[in-house]
Amino acid sequence: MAAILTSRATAEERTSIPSFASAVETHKAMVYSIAWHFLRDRPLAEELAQDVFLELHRHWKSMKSAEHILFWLRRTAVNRAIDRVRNRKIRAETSLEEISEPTVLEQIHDTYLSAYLERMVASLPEKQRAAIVLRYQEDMEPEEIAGLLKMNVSTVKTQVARGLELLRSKTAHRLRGEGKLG
Amino acid sequence: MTPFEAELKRALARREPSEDFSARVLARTQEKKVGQTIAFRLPGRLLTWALAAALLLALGGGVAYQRHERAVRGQTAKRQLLLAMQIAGSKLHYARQQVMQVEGMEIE
Repeated sequence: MAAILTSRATAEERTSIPSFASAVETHKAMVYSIAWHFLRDRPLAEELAQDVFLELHRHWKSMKSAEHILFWLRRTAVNRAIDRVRNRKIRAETSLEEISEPTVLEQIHDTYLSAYLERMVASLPEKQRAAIVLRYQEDMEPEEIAGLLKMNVSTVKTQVARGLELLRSKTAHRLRGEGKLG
Repeated sequence: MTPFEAELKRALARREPSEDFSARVLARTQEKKVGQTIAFRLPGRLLTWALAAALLLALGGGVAYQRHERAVRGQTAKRQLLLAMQIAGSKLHYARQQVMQVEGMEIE
């Protein structure tokens, strides 16, 4: 009886799995964006995202549910992005210290602030960057990030807090000028 | 969420890849399928036959080699036995001659 229930549950889980094409369509922006925030190069980010989906295709039979696919894609995208950065020695064009702090007088538009923040995120250390990207791009809780990156929850919280502090200190002048500093 | 975090969230919002991204991924999965079909089916059969033939050859060769080895060992043993018999015969003949000589001397 238990075996019947188990097989039925497995069958139900399997039916909740979308088609591969639909999974690509649903998650392409997520995977590409993770790759982009690490590589900051459109062709490289697209290539990495494609590789992640091809790997998903190879592992498609082991996918148990839509949630499993999402978790697998996030983890694989982050890991592949970190590997690519380390292997190809792709570092941010400029380090965090080298990025000049915009002043109030510069009156930069919000779009530029976003671009500036993006550049700064790309210059964070890999694990810190992963934690920040998953927290703010993917809106994930520290517990979820910890599970995905195989880290302690406290480590994730520390990484996010340190990353935020670094980013905040760099943008402090400008945000203060616009009255947006939280 | 602080205003700074909200700003960061906006900066890190998801962005779309190029329009033909999904099509290219699907095309690559098809290429892979075709590649796998060619790589695994056709050469797979050839490889199976080649492996089977190699196995048969190895088995046959092994059996033939064992037979040859056994024959060589037999021939060697035969040669050694004949030599031993020859040596023993000559020794026996020599001893017999000696005995006869001694006996002849005693009769005289």
